[in-house]
Formats: sequence, C-alpha cells, structure tokens
Amino acid sequence: MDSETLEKLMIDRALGAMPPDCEILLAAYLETHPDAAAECGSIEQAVELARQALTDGSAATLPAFPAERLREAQRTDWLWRMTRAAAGIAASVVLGFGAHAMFFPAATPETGMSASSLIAVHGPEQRTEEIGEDAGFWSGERLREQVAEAPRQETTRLVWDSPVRVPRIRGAS
Amino acid sequence: MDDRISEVRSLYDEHGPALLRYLRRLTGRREVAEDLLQETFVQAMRSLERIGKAHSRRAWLFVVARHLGINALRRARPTVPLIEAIAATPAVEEDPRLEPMRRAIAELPELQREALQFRLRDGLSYQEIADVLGVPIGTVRSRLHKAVNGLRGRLKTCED
Repeated sequence: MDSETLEKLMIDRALGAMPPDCEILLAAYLETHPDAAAECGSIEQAVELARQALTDGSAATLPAFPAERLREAQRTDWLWRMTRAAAGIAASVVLGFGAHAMFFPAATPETGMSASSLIAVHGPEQRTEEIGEDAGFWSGERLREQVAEAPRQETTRLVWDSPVRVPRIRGAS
Repeated sequence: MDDRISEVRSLYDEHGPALLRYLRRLTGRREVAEDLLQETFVQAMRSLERIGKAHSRRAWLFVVARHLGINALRRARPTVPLIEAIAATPAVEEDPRLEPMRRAIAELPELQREALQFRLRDGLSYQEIADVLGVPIGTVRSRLHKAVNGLRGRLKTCED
C-alpha cells in the first residue's frame, strides 16, 4: 500500500472517523506490517494526547433553559409579522388608488374656475321667447308665467367632491 | 406556540452543553458564552423548519453559535488570548507531554486547530465539521491530517 494513503487511513482511524469494515481491513494489514503498525501507534498516541490536552477538566454547567426569553422572542416576532402585514395592506391600498388614478383619469375643471363656482343659469332672453308675444313686460300674465316656470330655473352644477371620482353634473335634465 | 418551545428545549438539553463549551472556548468569557447560547436557541426557535431539513441538527446549531461567537468577538476581543486560555488549564498529576501538546495545538494554524477542536473536543463528524465551516469534506480531512502530522512533529521534537 502507498505510504501516503496508509498514513491518511491511520489518521482517520486515530480520529475515529473510519468505517468499521475499513478498520478491520487496516487492522489485518497492520498485523503483517510491523513498521506500519509502529507508525500507527505513534499517530494514535499523538491524537490521544491532543484529545486529553483539549479536554478541560471544568464541567460546563448548563444555565437554566431560557423559556422566558424564547417567549419574548415569539411575541416580538408576532408583532413584527403583524406590522409587516399592516404595512403591506397599506401599501396595496395606496398602489390601488394610484393605479386607479393613472388608468381612469378624472375630468378636471377649466383653469381659473373652481368646481363649486361652476353654475349654469338660463338667460332671461330665453324665457322671453317662451312667453307669448302679445303679453307686455309688466303684464300679470307674464308674472304668472314666471312663477309657474320658477322650478325650471334651477341651476346646473358640476359636482366634483373627491379627487379620485369622476366629476358629475347635478341638475342636468 | 409551546410546541416550538418544547422542541427547542429538547435541542437545548441534547446539544446545549457541547455548544456552551464551544462558545466558552471561542469567546473566552463564561457570561458572554451563556448569552450567546441563549441567542443560539432563540435563532433555533425561529428556524425550526430549517433545522428539520438540515443534514445534522447539531451542525446547524454549531453554525449559528459560531456566527454569533465570531460577531461577538468582532465587537469585543476576548480578555484572555487563546494560547493562554488553552495553556491555562489546571493540571494535577498530568502527563508531562500534555503541556507541550497544548502549546503545539495553540500554535497550529487557526483553520487546522478549529477543525481539530471540533473533532476531538466536540465530537463532530467530518461531514458536520464541513457543514459548520462551510467547506468541502475533503478540506476538513486535509486540515485534520495536517494538524495531526504537525502535532506529531512537535511531539517528536520535544521528545528528542
């Protein structure tokens, strides 16, 4: 057997990392090779000394199981998960509004005109045409006509009460 | 919720002593080691599913403990240097070759010494050491062989 391979096998055996069947084969080989057996003894002695040198006599006393610390960690983790979930939901809502505003843009009022001030009113000349031509301006007939038509004079308003809604016209026939 | 804690408790009872020894060796301070041991098991509780899938639970715990220990060392260096920590072990009627052997171990390259300690002190298999150190198993074997040959050489020199 190659001396280098043999040495590796002997070190593995000394370190207790050799499969049992290989160990049997190596033991059989060493029985017939006294030089190799002597070297193997030297390796095992060195490993045993190293094992003793590394073993400190002081027994490590295991502290009590930190159950309370683990529970605290569980609570913290739960809070953290909930916070992340809430943040995720909030982000989704904001993204949803953003996407809606992007894909369904709302109509905007003309420049210089606020939504609440946009009032359409029928002009008086329109009404004069509806009243008969032979009625005078100060006639009682004309006054009655005006009173009767009063509900028709309701104003038309552009209502835009939310930036994320499409404006609608109130009072339109 | 308590199922996880009881599972962690069984891990603690099984592997706690070895991890505590390792952390004491790594940090050089008992109180720091105990704190890191607790933190190791907090991490274990958070990753129980991953531990279940791990090749070796012990190796997984050693990986966590090692990372925590190294981070702690980065923050504050140990008060007792490693060579002194190994050499300062009390000796009562011990083999006279042990003292030179401790010195020889302390003077090994760090990677070799670490692998040797995992094998001889903590009883980790080659595969577990490879998992903990994040290297191939062949590298672990090579480091251990070099370490043993180095120790043999030092021992021969001392005997001569």
